[in-house]
Amino acid sequence: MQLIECPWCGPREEVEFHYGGQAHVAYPADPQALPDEQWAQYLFFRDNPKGAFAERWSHAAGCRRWFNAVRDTATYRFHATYRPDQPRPEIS
Amino acid sequence: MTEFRVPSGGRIDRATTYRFTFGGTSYTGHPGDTLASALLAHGVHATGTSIALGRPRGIGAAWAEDPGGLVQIEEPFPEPMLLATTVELVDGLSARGIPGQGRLADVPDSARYDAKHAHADLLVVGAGPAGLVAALTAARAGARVVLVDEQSEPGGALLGSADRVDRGPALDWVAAATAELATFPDVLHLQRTTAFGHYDDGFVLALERRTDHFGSAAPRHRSRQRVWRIRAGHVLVAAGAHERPVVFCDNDRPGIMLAASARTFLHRYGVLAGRDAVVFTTDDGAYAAAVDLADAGVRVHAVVDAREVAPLHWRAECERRGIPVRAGQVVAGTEGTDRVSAALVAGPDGGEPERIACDLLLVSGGWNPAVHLFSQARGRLHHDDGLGAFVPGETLPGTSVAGSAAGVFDLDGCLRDGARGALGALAELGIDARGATPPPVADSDPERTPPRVLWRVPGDERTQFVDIQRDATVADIARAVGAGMRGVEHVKRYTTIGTAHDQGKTSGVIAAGITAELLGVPVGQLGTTTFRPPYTPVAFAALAGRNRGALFDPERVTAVHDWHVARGAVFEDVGQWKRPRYYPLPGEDMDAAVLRECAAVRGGVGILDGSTLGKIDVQGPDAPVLLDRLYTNMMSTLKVGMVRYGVLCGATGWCSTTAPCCAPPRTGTSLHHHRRRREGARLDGGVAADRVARPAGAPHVGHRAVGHVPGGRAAVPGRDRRGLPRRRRLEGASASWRGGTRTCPASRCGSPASASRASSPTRSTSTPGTRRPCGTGSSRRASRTASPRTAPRPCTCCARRRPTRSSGRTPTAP
Repeated sequence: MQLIECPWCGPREEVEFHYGGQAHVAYPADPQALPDEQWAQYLFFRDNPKGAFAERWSHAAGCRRWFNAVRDTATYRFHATYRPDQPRPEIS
Repeated sequence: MTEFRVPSGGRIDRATTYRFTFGGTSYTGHPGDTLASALLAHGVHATGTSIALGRPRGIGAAWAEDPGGLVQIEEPFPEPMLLATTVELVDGLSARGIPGQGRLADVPDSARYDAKHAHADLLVVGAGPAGLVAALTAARAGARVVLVDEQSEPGGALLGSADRVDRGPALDWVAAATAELATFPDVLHLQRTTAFGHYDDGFVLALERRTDHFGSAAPRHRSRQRVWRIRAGHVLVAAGAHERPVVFCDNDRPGIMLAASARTFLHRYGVLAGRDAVVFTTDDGAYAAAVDLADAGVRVHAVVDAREVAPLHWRAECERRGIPVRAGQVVAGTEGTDRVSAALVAGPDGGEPERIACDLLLVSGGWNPAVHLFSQARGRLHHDDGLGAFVPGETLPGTSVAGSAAGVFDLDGCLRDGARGALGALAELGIDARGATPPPVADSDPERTPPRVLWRVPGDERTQFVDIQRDATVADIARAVGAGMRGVEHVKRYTTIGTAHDQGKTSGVIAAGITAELLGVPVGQLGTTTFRPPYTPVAFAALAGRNRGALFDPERVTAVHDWHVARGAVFEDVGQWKRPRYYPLPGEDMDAAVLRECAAVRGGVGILDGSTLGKIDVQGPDAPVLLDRLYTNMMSTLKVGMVRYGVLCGATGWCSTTAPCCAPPRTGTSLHHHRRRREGARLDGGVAADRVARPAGAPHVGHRAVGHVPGGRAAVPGRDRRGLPRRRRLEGASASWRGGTRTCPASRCGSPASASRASSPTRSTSTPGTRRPCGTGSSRRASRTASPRTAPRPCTCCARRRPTRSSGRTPTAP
């Protein structure tokens, strides 16, 4: 069972966490002005890389706060976790 | 004194005698015996028959790697498929052999099982020479150490040998090391504890057997088995090695045993595994067994060494004892019915084999390091051609291997390797270990002659057993390869080799070797099958622990559950909740009860105990904005004390749920239960983080009771523009009375205040300031005398009244 570092609580077991999809997907500034295709891009299209991926996670069975994480989708290894108001760290 | 017990020596208590039965026959043994050693002391080798062919099967090793000696325990508690070699003997034990499979108990298991967490800097698996040195080194450096070992006492391979450490008996050193470990407060040392699974980030599961060795004297309060959930900064695997056999014709007869196991039976249990022995080896290790057994009085008729040249030192030792050494020869087959009676020894060129009568055939084909826990952590293995064994082929962060599990097969090397492993782990953990005392030294072994890798002796493939438990032979592997299987995983599944009780501890690597031979590739290129948890079988009862029966899944009942029970409610399970489904009167079925209830509500009023539905309390300055983002309709205009129904949508436009939103003194929404968790998480931050300037908090309030009051005569108390009380009729709508989340302030109760009075709103306009916890004060009397506007009301759970069933009204509204 993996340990995931919650930015508020510290390392906790993975069963306490809930996955929330790709991070840093901003709500469009003016949704009304978007053509359908771009609106659909916002709604339905997400990256699916092999390797480092910035994701949203929720410490659902702990402090219940959301945070972001950079995780390797091939090895499951968490490279960094950070608060939502922080920028994505550079992962070498 | 039993027939095959030597007069002295061993780790048994000869002063005490235990009586036990096996297959209906009574035997005796001593404390410290296993069932296997006690049987061997009476000359009993055969325990049962094989699953497919019904061939006799017997004890073939001294511990968990034994593929043959499966037994069924009848007393003290029925348990199937245990190894005679791992069952500790207790007084009154009753067991029998099995035909390849056992029988589950048909009586309830009254024992308790539990689980416990442990955290450590270093977990050492195995209390043999390497593990003990590693644990001591780390403990002296101040690290938090957990040391687990699966046997009844520490020492590992030292228990079954006459080795010496620091110029004294090795077991004296073991006792001193164990005593020193006990002085460290941060060291947890567990015997009879098998580390059976190694998972991510230093997480290891271990099973501790806590009461079986007490027999009928087991303390009743003590759990029978305990699963240890160990989280360690570093895991050091010092699990030793398993001797592996060589495959030849009729190699499955009782009386055929691994050489080192016979040595263990002699030194640890004082038992001779036979009287007339033949030893077949490809390695130096078996000579020690031959010499020790000869010294103890066994007639060793031959040491058959498959190598061209026998090792010089051991050859001389054998000559001193008159043991003939036959270099360059092999055992090609055996004779016997339910016990081996002769070994058929053949020369290198085949030809007519020579028959040597014996009742014990010891086999050694080299050693397989017990790399299971390393492999489970996804460590890659590589084949060391010099050792003829698969050893750890890479270094993993947080995991290391030491001792014979790492391919170090001499005692002095194991002691040094344990210290090296511990120092490496401490360096990785950042614990200062300078000034560590050097490990103890052992007498160095005589120079090793390289082993010969021999998987099988040519012969009739149909009687050459690879997996003795599965009755799988070399012919089965040949058939698998002939059918096109090219990988060990495919061969494993085609032949079932390695899928039995022992999970291929002796057969797995041999199967890979024979497959490689048939395919004409090096075994190192073919590799082994994946080692998967558990290392040894674990009972489901132990994994379940205390989560059985009613504790398997928590049952949640509403604050007014007793009220429902008193009125004969039939409950349905809604998630973990017990929700009343209908209230049958005597003689009523569900349809009749539901019809009566519907009619009563239509004509009058009813109460729905909505406590089983999820509630989310949204608070904060931007709570109205957040709710507007979630609901399709406007919620920010909701006045305090009012309720509005709505649809919640995500950005895609899909309706995620529908839920009433109420604005009590605090803003809250009530969401349907099965969506509560998800919607709650969405409220927590999914929407708020992006789009609400001042985030709102949204804790679940699952403990809060809610009553919904539907019905033709349900009314919502409110005030008109002049501030006067008014009644408003609701037509077919469902409403939460006065906001629906009014709580009885008694924390132990939490039921809706005065919900039972919702049908007469003029009498139930209690305000938060006047509510009084139920059970405090004489609220019932006060309600009769005080003004209806201010009278505190008992909640429904406390106002126990018989329903007036004869009146024809719904029993939910007494």
